[in-house]
Amino acid sequence: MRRRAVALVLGVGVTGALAAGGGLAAWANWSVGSSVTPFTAASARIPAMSPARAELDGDVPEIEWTGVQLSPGRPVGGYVVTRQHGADRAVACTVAASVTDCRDSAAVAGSTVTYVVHATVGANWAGKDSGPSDPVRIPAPATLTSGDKEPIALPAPSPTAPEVKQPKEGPAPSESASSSPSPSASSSAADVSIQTD
Amino acid sequence: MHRWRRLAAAVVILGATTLASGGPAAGQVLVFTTARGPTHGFTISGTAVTGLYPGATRRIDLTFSNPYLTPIRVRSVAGRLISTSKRGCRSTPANLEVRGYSGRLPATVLPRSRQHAGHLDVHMPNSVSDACQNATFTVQFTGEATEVGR
Repeated sequence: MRRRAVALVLGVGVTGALAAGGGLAAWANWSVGSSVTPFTAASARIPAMSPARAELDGDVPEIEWTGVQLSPGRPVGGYVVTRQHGADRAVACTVAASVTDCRDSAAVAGSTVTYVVHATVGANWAGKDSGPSDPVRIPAPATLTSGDKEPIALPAPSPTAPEVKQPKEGPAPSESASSSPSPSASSSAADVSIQTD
Repeated sequence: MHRWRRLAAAVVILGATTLASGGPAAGQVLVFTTARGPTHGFTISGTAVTGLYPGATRRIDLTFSNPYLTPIRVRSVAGRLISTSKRGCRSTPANLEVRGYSGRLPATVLPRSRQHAGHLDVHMPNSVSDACQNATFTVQFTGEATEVGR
């Protein structure tokens, strides 16, 4: 009987000690969350561009511009040149960042156009358009006569066919838009090919 | 000192609450709320990030600060984008991803001291909205720490 009583006292004591110890252990360590710490990160902006420069190279406008960078050593993704004819706007060239000029063989003969350019980065970032270039008047189609034959009008270049820029010192005659218009050229208008200098 | 007094007040309030509910379990996250205002605790701060652009990844080096009189062990750190400064630039991962913490955890921070920690990366996807040019993104750091056992 005495032994049972001792065992009971010991059991209660151990249980109590464990319970108390557990509670103390719980109080001995605390956890805490951090302060809510706001932090800011800023994004860049595509810089404004100087007005493009446009002039005729033969019968085709050639547009040049001064490249920009997002930050020193960080180029933009590319450039888009837009032709403006009155209220009409159309993309004349889309080029990589390493290119700072292009030729617009799709300009309509006889029209007067200006050009603006903006830089792009990534899939969606676009800078603001530059100021317009000086106006460029595209020569009207030449009309030739040959003896007493009917006049022969040379057609204007296709309005949608881009032209590969040729080296100024040796243009290939077969590539001249004014001498060999191709009816099929307009169907491949999406395949703009710009040669870098 | 003022902060510590607030902490003491918070602990008293917390103690009253936990006593009524039977006491906290060890390691439980305690939220200190006082009549004065929101939660406070150790702080996580980061280096400034500027010049984000589509495709860019920037590292935010973090520092832990322990305002308490005992060492703490930081067990978790996370960051999330909570707002931007531009209306059309939504605070979504499509515009800015806040990546996971890189660094050793748990990290012990001595009492009333600051310690350089790991880093978080932020990445601006190529598809970021045009409206996010020249925007300011607010990233919130959160973490949990426990008192180092005596």
